[in-house]
Amino acid sequence: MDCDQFREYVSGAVDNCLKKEELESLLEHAGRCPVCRYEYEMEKITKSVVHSRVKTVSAPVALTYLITEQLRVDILPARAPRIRRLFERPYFRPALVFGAAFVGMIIILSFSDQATSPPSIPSLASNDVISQSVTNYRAVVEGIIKPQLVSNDPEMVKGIFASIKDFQVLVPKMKECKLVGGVMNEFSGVQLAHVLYTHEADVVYMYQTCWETVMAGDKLDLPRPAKQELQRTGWYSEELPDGHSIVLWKKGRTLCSAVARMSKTNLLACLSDAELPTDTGW
Amino acid sequence: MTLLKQKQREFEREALPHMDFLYNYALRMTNNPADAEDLAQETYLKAYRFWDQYEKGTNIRAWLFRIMKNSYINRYRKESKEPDTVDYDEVKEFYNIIREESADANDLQETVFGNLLDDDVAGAIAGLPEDFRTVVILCDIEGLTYEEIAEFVDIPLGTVRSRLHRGRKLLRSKLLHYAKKRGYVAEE
Repeated sequence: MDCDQFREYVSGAVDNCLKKEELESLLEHAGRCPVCRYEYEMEKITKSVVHSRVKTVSAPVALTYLITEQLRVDILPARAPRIRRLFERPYFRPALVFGAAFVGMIIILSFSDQATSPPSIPSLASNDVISQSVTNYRAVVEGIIKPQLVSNDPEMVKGIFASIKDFQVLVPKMKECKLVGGVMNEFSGVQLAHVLYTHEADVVYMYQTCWETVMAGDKLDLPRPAKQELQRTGWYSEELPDGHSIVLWKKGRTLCSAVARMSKTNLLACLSDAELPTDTGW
Repeated sequence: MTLLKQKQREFEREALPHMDFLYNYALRMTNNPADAEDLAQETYLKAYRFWDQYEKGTNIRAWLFRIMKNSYINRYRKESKEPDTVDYDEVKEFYNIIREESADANDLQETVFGNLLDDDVAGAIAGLPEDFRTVVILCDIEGLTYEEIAEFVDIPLGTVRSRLHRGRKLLRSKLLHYAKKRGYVAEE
């Protein structure tokens, strides 16, 4: 083997990808040629440095969920050619608009004598985690719920929750959000942790409780679709009225929910910097 | 279950488990977590759109990888300087300095590379020309075999070997540059 051939095969030697005869020939040449021997040693060192210093990481959990959601939103319209053809027919759109307006009028006239509650709070049972999260969020925005401790130090905020033993309270770092503080309370004897952030001028509210308690369903509960989705994927999200959204996720024994005045895509993006769970079932 | 839902479930079951591999490749190519996430999203959306073109039973990871690589090229190649040539003067200088510094490769590993920060190493990899960077990532970080790399990148085995050799050589010169900046090796 000469030096040119050596250079052709040296990577294979470093990566144990050579046949026995090729390796023997290469090593024999390295024994005679100090330049090539040096190159062999250097290549081994380089590989070792890269292998030991650059570690693989897990993809952010929110990324997986974001992609799944985007597949469902982005792809669906493109796969409904019959509907698209229907839309392309002349006069279809004006007819649709007129029809929708007519139906809307009927609905308004039918319900105009009823007191309508604002659609902002879902009409769910009071032990429903989603309902509680949204109600508490509004209470924070209106100043009714205030933090027990105001601090942007995650360790200090975690300190408020030291007495909670049933689940681990998370105070994650959130993208473009500032930690404000936290407060703890109980509902039907179940401990609850509330962590508050701001995102620009808005509140991002996080509610946390014991996963097993919610899954048991007697003191705290969730609507069935949310519960099933959480059990299947570890995530659930929903767009709420008035430009709000809620995201729920499981980490270890903790069930978390986050409510904010932004789309669920943007809320997920804020959560993507957090050290979120890997137990999504993938 | 509708056909569409079936397709979605099938795609999620087969393609999403390779998320970590794709994200890591994207991260090493872009050296930026936000860009890596964007690239991963773009890759998966494209893969889903072309899911009917994937031949069941073939190497799905290689198929996804090629989609990501093409997306990376389309998105980032325009912005990069495209340094596709090795600066052999720099490599030659490296060897000269190394010989002056120490005849012992282990000392070199200790004094020059041992003190570098992990970010320096990641930055040096990100600074490699794309073709070299890809094979170094796939071999030295992801641990793929030469045959797998050849399939993923669609190049002959001999080209895998030569790109690895040249890529690692160039990487060493970049690591030396970082070491000089930090004072582990005397500037000339």
